Amino acid sequence: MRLRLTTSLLLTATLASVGMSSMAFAKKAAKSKAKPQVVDPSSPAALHKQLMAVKRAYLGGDTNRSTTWTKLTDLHEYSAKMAMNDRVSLLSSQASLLTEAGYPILASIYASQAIKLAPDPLTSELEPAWSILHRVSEKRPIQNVLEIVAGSIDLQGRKIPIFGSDWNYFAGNAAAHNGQTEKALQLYGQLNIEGRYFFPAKYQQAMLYIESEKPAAAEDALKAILFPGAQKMSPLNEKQRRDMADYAYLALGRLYYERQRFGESTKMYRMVSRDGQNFYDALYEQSWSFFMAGYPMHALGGLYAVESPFYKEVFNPEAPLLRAMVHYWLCRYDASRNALADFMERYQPDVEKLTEYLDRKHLDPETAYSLFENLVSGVSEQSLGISRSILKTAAEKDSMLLIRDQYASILEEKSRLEAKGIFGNKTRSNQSMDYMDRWAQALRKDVGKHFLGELQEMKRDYDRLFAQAEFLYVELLMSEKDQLLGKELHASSKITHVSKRMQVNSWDKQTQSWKDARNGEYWWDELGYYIEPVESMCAVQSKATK
Amino acid sequence: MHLLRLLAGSAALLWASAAFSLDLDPGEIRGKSSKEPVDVLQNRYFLKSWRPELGLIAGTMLDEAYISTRITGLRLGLFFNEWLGAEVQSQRTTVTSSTDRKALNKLRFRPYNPNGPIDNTVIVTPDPEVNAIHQVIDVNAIVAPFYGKLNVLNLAIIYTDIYATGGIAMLDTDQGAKTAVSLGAGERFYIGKAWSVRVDFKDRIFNETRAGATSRRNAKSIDFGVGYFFN
Repeated sequence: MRLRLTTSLLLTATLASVGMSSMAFAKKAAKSKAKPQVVDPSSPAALHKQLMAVKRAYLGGDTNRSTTWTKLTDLHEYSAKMAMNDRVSLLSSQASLLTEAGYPILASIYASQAIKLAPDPLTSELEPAWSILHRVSEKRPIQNVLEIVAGSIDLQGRKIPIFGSDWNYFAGNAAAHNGQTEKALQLYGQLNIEGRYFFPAKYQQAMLYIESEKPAAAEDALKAILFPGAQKMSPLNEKQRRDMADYAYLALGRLYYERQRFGESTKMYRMVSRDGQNFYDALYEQSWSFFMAGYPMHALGGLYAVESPFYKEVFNPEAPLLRAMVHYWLCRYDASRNALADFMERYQPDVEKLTEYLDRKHLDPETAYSLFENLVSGVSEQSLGISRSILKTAAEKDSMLLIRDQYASILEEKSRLEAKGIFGNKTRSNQSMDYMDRWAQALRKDVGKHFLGELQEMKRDYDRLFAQAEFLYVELLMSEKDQLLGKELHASSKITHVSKRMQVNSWDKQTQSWKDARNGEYWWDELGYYIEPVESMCAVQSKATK
Repeated sequence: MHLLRLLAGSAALLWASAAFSLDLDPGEIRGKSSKEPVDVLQNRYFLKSWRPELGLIAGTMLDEAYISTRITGLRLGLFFNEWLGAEVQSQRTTVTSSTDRKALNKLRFRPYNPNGPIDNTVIVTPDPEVNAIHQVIDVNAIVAPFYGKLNVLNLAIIYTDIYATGGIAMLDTDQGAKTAVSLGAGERFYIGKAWSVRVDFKDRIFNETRAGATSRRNAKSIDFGVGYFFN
């Protein structure tokens, strides 16, 4: 079993580069547009005077928001000539107005620019900008913005009042992205238990401990998420807490499996809620744990659920291969052979098409994005040229869903901006549109990059599984030959007796155990409770019975 | 020719790509996990959709004081999907007097004459006013939103549909032809993929004359049926 204990950090170099300097933007804008007549750009002092006048007029109620936005936008054209403090003030003011105009993500981009440019990120002038970032972060997916800010400012040990210890989460992510594992671990460890990001920080901390081969520390970090006191004190809503607990259970299941604590592993997997995102992974991976714990009937039952029509669009070639292995170790060679045939027949043609695609010369994030876009737009499998199940599985990995959410939010705000402008003014929304375009473009590239990465990873996985399947087939042939001769290959390690025990750890009297009726129906509530009644057919057992 | 086809294909792909770029819905970009089930039941085994059903009915009218009405009939049904269908059923009845009515009929009275002496030659027998139903034809829509299974003493699992019916009924009564609103509910139990047994409760609501005045009547019935699905 391949364990996927990777972090979900999405801070990418592409996105970081989007946090463009106002200088570069101003130069570009100045070239592309006629200079507004109302601004006197003769000196930084003149620009300062004009900025102060605009702010005074707005605060005094002499100008409305629309006029103020127009004037600030005109001034923004000359921000390259402004003193640094004025540029920060201008961006911060624009961010505040954008919040009022109903563009929270755009506002957070402006606010982050202001903070990054400021000589001191904790100056009182930036309090509104920090406030915007904090408020928006609670309702919109702007984790990328916050991580870029966290990675580019130096707080010199001070805290951002409005974020409190939660800021350490973003700073930790930025450090982890830059390969500073120790620093990241330290930052993740500094979050308060009542913090909004306490659970994600603990999870990331656990992932880093696993990468550093410190499983005991990882276990502690994951258990901290499940600690009832922490659950009670968390400001997250019930669903968010449940989702985080599911991630922790899944990770603990994997961790225990790796440490060969198979009973505990199945228990953790079975704690994952069936309504959550991780149920499929838990359902599938517990089959491995059941098998290794000595419950092949439960393992096969789990696989029966995994291969049910509920998951017909999930690409998981490992499932029939595991089925083949379970049958093989039970000396059920015909069933093992059939499972191997399923593996080849169902997945080989799809993987061949994927290989053709990945072997193309011109394969880059942009072409991968086009494929992704065609997939989500509902283009037929024939036109896509690759099996939808492969593409959907790649497109719905956790990391993809996270970045898709961010990209979708940007697109939503961008289309609103195109349609309505800012305070009804479309002519002064070009700068903002340019910002959004750049963010959208970078995220689009990131979607393509991740999508391509997932497809390549799936191909590598399949190749590895294919090699295992070939090896198993040879073993199968040799075992069949030996069985005909009354012997059993690897007899000492084969499963000669299958326990009749139906109730296993975590499968208590409170749950229903269904023996599959084999009438072809699959009920959602039954998934995870199938038991495949099989007997070992090892020759060794036959002799013992005789 | 081959080249032309290739060029046309490329152009179509480019056009498709451009079109999708313009119309792309952020909701599609965001997506959701396919790991969530689409329907809670997959590969439903007992199917009714577009399978004509022929059935036999036997039942009785309920809540009758002076008569006992037995029902027998035929049913023809068709479901358009697993949840919605229509059926027509034709039933004949056998009406017998109840014990109470027979007892009443045995009573003999000389009618009281408030204006003079009682006439000893006149004898009357009391008989309640009944409006017996002799034939019923129901045309109903069926909604079957519940499909499930029951554990029978931990020995067997039986599959079942619970449904509601609604439509019109044409009745032949002692007072002539009546048109009624028909409402009902029932449960079907599957025996294999083609046979099923079912129990139905129905209420046919219509107007009749009682003591010279119009009165609303609820003619309730319960019947048991066996049905066969063709195909």
